[in-house]
Amino acid sequence: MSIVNIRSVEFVNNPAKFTDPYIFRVTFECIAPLKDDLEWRLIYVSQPDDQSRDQELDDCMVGPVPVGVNSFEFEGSPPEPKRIRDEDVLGVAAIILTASYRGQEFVRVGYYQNTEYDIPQWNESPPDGPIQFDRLVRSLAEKPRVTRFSIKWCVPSVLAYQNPY
Amino acid sequence: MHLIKPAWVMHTDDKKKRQGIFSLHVHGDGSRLATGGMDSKVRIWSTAPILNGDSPMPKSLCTLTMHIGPVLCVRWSNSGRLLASGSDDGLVMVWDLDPSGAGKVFGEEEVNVEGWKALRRLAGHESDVSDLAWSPQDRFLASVSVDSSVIVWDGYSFDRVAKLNGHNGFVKGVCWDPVGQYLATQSDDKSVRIWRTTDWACERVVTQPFELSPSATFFRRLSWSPDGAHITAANAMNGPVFVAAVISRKEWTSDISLVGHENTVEVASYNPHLFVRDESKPVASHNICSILALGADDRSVSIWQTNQARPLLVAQELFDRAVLDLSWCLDGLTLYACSSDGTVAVMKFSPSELRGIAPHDVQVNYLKGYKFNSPMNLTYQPTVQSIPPPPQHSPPVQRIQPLPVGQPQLNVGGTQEVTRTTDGKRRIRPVLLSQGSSTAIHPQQPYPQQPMQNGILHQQPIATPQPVYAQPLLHDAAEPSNPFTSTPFTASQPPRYGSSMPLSASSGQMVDDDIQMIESWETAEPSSAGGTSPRKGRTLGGDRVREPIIVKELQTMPMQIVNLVGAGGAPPVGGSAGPVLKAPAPKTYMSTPIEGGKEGDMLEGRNAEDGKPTDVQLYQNKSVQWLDYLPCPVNALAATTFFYAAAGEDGGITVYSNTGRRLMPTLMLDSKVAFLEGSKQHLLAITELGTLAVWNVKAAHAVIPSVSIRHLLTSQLQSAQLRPNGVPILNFSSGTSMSYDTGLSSWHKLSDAWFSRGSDSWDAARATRASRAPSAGPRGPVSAVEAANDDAKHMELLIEDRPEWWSAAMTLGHLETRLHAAKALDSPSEYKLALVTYARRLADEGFRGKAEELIKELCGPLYWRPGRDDGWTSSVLGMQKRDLLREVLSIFARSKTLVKLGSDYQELLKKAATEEY
Repeated sequence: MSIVNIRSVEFVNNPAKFTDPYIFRVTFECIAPLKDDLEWRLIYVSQPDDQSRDQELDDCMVGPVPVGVNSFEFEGSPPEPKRIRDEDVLGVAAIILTASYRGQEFVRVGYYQNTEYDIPQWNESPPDGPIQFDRLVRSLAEKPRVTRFSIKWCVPSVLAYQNPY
Repeated sequence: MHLIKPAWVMHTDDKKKRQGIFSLHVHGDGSRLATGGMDSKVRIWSTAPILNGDSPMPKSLCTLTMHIGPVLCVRWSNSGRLLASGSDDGLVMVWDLDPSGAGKVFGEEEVNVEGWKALRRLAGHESDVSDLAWSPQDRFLASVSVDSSVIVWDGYSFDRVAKLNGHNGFVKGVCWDPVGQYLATQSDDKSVRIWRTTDWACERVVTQPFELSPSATFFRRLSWSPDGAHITAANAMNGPVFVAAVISRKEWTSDISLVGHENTVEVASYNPHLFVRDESKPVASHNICSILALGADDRSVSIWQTNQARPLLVAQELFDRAVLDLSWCLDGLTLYACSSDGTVAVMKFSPSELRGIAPHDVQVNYLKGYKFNSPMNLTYQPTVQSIPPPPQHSPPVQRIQPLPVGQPQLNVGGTQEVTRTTDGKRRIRPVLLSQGSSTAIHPQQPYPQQPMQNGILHQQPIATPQPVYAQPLLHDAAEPSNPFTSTPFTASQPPRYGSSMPLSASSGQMVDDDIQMIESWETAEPSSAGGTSPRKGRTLGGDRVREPIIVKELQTMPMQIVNLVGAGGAPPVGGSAGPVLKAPAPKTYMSTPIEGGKEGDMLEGRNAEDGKPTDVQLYQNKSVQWLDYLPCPVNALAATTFFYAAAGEDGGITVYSNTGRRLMPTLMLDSKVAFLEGSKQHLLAITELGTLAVWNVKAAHAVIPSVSIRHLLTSQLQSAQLRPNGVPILNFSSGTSMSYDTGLSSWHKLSDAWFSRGSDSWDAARATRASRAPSAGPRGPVSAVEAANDDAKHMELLIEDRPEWWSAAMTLGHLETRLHAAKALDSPSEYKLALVTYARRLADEGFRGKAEELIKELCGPLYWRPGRDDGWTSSVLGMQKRDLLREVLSIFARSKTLVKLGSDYQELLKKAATEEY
C-alpha cells in the first residue's frame, strides 16, 4: 500500500502546440511522514518498442512532503524533434509521468498523446519536405493509465511492548 | 425470514468479471456496508438500496483503492467513526470520513459519492493480514496475520501496544471478550490461544477440537458470545465430522460441537444481543441464550440458538462457493454474508422469528457480573455514533479545511518554492492543500467526547434507523418476474439440519439488472418438460420424447474385434499386446453429467439390445437437444461445456459440438477405451492396451500424442483426471500420481505417498480429502492429488529409529516434488505456497548451499532486462520470479541461519532494480 497516492493530474495547457512545454499540476495525498523527497519524471515515448528513443522531458525532486494533500506544478520541455523518427512524429505517442521514492518507482501514469497538423488538409496529405514542427499541435487523452508498484517505504512503527516468546 | 441477494454489490477485475469477496461488515447504525475483495479494494455501499430496491440512494458510496493486494478483512469500529481494513499487502489501514474527498478516483472509472481517507497506515505484519477486531469501546484494534503474529494497536493513537507471538502457523481469526479480559485468536497451527489483556500473556492454548482440522480454510474467524461465556471457533473437527467448537470460558474446554455443515466452517458470528428465553423471568445465566451464525465451505449458512440442539435454520447453497464472512447488524435481526463467489446475501428476520432480544443495559449489567476490572475502563457503551447519512445524489460541497496550527514549516496554501538540490536538480516544495488527519487525533481525547474532528460535525445518532428497517419486504416468491423478490422463509420449519430447506441463489432473489446474474437465473428456469424451447429452431432429435430404459449390461457383443496383426503371426507391437486395463462393459443405457454444466443436464448413450442402432443424445434443460446414431455400442462418454465425446466398442471416438456437429473426424484408437475424461476443450482417452492420448478439441490437435502407460501399471490405475490445461493426472493404488510432460517426453511423479512417511508437510493434504468440492475454493490441484494418494494407501506412518536426516530429507524432497507438480498442473497459488514453505524449511535447517542455489534460480542473470534472451525466463506460472524471490529472501532475512544471505541478496536485488530502469 502506497504512502503517496495521486489524487489528480491536471493539464494546465492541453491541447497545446507541439513545441510548447508540458505543464502539469499534480495533487497527491501523503499519509505518513517521509524523510526523503519524491522524484518525479516525465518521459516522452515515441516508439514503444524502442526504449532508447524515450526522451526524459523533466526530472525534479519534490519535498519536503508533509502529511496531507499536497499539490505542485511542474513543467517539462517538449521533446527534441531530432530524436524522433519522422514516421513516429504524427499520430499516437505516449507521455509517462512516474514517481519514485528512494530510487524505487511506486506509480506510473501514462497518457496517450495525439499529434497532428493544425491545418486539417495537411493531415490528409502532408506537405513535402521535412516535418514542420511549428505547425504541429498535440493533445493528451484525459484518461490516465495508472500502474502502482509496491515498494519499501521504510516508515518506522513504534513498538511499545513485545511478549517474551 | 427474507433473503436478499443484491447482485450489484460486487468487486470486479479489469474485465468487469465478478471477483471474490473476502470480508464484509455492516456499520453499527446499519446505514453502510463495507466489503473487501480480491480486487484489492475496499468498497462502501449504502444498505438502503440493498434492503429496499426502490430506494433512491446511490448504491456504491465509495471505493478505496490504496491496498496493493486482496482485502481480507474490513471492520467498522464500535463507535462507527472509523473503518479498518487488512490486506494481503501486510498492512492494516484505518479510514476516516473525508468531507472533501468525494469525486472521481484517479485512474479509475469510479466516482466516489462519499469520501473516505486513509487516517492511518499500520505497518508491522510481514505478510497477509487475515482478520481484525476492535475491542469493546475501541480501546484496541487487534490484527492477525499469516506471519503467525498478532498485533494489538492502540485504538486512539494507533501505536503498537503489543505483538503477541506464540502461534506456529497462519493466524486466521481474532475476537475480543465482551468483558474486556481476554483476546482470542485462532490459527492454522490447530489451536485457539486465549490472551490476557492485563499483561498480554497467553492464558491458555486450546488444541483438542482442532487436532484433525484441515489447514486449507481461508479463514478461521471465531466469535465470542455476547454474554461472555463462550467462544465459538471455526474449522473444528469432531472425529471425522466438520463442526464449530464451543469453548467455555475459564475452563477453556470444548464439550459442545455444532454439527451439520458438510465442509469446514470458515466463520462463526454471534448476534450482538443477549436473548432472554422467558421474558417474564429475571435475567440469569439459565434464562439467557445467544444466536449464532456459521458460514462454511459447503456454501451454506446456519443459524443456531444456544439453548437448542438443532439449528434454527440452514440456508443451503446460499452461494456458489465458500462463505467467507458474516456480519450481524446491531438491530439483531439482519445478517450479512459474503462468499468467494463474489456475491453478498442478506438474511432479514422478523422479531417474531428471533424472539427475546434483551435491552442493552441488561447485557451491560450481566457482563458486570464477571467482576473484571478492565484496564480498558469498560463501561459498555451501547450508543453507536451515527455518521452522517450517505449523500443522496451529488458529492458534498467542498469545505474549506481549517488551517493547521503550530506547524510553521508547512507550505500552506501559498505558491510552490523551487530550489536546486546539490546535484543540480530542481526541487519543488509542494503546496499543502489540506493537512493529513493523522495529526488530528489526540490520544487523550477518545471519540465520545470529540464529535467534531477535522471540521466534520458528526450528527447525533439517529434513534433507530427507521427509514431502512420499517419498510417490510412484501414480495412473493411466486412472482419471479419481480426483479426484487424475497423468499418468505419461516424459521420454525422442522430443523433437521441438512434437510429440505429449498434455498438456492438461483431461485429468483436477484435484485438488480445485473446481466450475468439474470442470465444464470433465466437458464435455471426449466423450460416445459419434453418440449423444445420456443426460442430455438428445429434440431436433430429435438422433438424426441425421452423414454425410460432398463439399465443392464449388454449380453453379447454385437461385434468381435479380430486381432489381425496377431493372427498374421507378426510380433505384437511393444512387447505384449494383451489388454492391461479393463474397459467398462457397454450397458443398455449410460450417461455422464456435463463438466461445468448445470445439474440434470447430461450426455446419454443408449445401446439397444435387439440389433437396433446405438444412439447418443444430449439432454439439456429437460429436453433432448440433439441425437446421433453410431455404428457400434458406446462404452464411455465425456462431456464438457465445450464438447461431447462418445467412445465406441470398436475403439472409435466421436466428438460433437454443442449442436451435435462433429468437431473432429472419428478418431480410431488401438483398442476399446478404458478411461475417457473431458475438461474444458481437452479430451483424454486411455485404451485397454494402455495407450493414453490427450487432444485439444478446439484446435483439433493432439496435446499428448499416443503414449504408452503400460510400464506404469505396476499397481492398479485407480483414476485418471484431466486438468483444464490438458495435463493428465493418473492415480495409482500404490499411492503415486503421475503426469506427462511433453517437454521431457516422459511420465513423471506428481506425488508419492512415500513422502507421507516422513514429510512434515504431508498432512496439508488431508484438508483436501475432507473437501467435497473439488476445484472450489483455495485448495488446488496439487493438494487434491496428494489427498487422493493419502486415501489410496495408508502407509505406516511411524517408523521407529528414523535414520539420521530423515524428516529433513523427506520434507524437502516432498516440497520439491510439490513445486514441480504445481508447475505441471498450472497452479500458481500452490506453487507459491510450496515455495514459501520450502524456503522456511531451508532456513530452519540452515541449508545454505540449497538456499543460495534456489536464490540464483529465481534471480536469474542479475542485470536481466525484459526482451534480452539468455535462456532464463523471468516468470513462472504467470508470477514474476523476482517477486517470488523477494518473498523467499524476506524469509531468509528473518531466519536464524540465513540472515546474511537473505539481506545480501535483498540489497543486490534492490540495486539491480534501480539500475535496470
